[in-house]
Amino acid sequence: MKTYTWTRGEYTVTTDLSKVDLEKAALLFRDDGWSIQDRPVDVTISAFKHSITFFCLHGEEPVATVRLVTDFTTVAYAADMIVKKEYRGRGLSKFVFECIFEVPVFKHMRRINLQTPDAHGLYARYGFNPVAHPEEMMERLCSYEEAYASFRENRDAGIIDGE
Amino acid sequence: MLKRSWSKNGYTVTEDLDGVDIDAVCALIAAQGWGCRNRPDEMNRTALAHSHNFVCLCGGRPVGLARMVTDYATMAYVTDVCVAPDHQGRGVARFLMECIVGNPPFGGMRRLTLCTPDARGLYAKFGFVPVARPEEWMERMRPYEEAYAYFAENGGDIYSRYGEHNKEMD
Repeated sequence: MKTYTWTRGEYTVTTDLSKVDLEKAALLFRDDGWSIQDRPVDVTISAFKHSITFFCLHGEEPVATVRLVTDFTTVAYAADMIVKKEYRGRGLSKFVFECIFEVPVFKHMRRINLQTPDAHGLYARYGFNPVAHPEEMMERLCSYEEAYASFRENRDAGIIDGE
Repeated sequence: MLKRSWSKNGYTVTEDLDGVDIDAVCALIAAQGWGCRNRPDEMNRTALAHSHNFVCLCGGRPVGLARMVTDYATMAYVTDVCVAPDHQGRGVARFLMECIVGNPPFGGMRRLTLCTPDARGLYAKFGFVPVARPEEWMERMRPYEEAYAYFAENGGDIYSRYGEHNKEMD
């Protein structure tokens, strides 16, 4: 897998998992008020590994992340965008999104979706618009508890690799 | 990763693309009336290679497809659900969805998402509902021509190529 690394001043954005303390990155979601703050670290780390994850590092410390769940061809979903509280207001979400569109396949991808309660303005700068046909979008949700339990069962049964 | 298969009424749904006629799977996508019908076969092959696929076979011939773009941990996007014109109305899409949501890992996944202009009734039978907060959803779309041209210029499976890219940003 090709890896990308960009630097700007004291900050680095990288897609190279080997440069990142994944547990620390997963802990960014704790105590943040998100509904996923209780997501177990092993679930988040597995999600990082099965996505293209953009980690923003300050020195070696993960301070922001976003990941793209993608087929590398037609579609991606941008998930779990987070900036550590003490690092907000420093342009790191912008840095991370600029890096996403430095990767040609994402720049030219037919469709990238995301969901945001309040950062529409930020994403609009990178070419995101409200979905044209919201009435066509459907979702099937399981409770977090059920989903986390299911992840572990499937991993233990070898249905997913879970790494 | 397990590769499973399920059979019913003369149809078999399989997760295992080994031995499946991929050209015929690409033809299924091309036979749809959607905007993606002109997607080059080579692009479909790459998309399939990076997805978790459910292919419905009838007598060994691919007659249905559902493609899951997933992180195997939190979510999946269900796409390219299609049925061969001569097998429509025979429950193929329904069988595909039964296999997907009736089994792990997708049956217990936190979120499955899809986009459908006209098959909401089908998906509702499998637990899909209109998104709860449509105002939160955003999309970044590029014209098909641009996406296809980029792919054509850069060839097949670009993300399997090993390499490093480093850049200083302004």
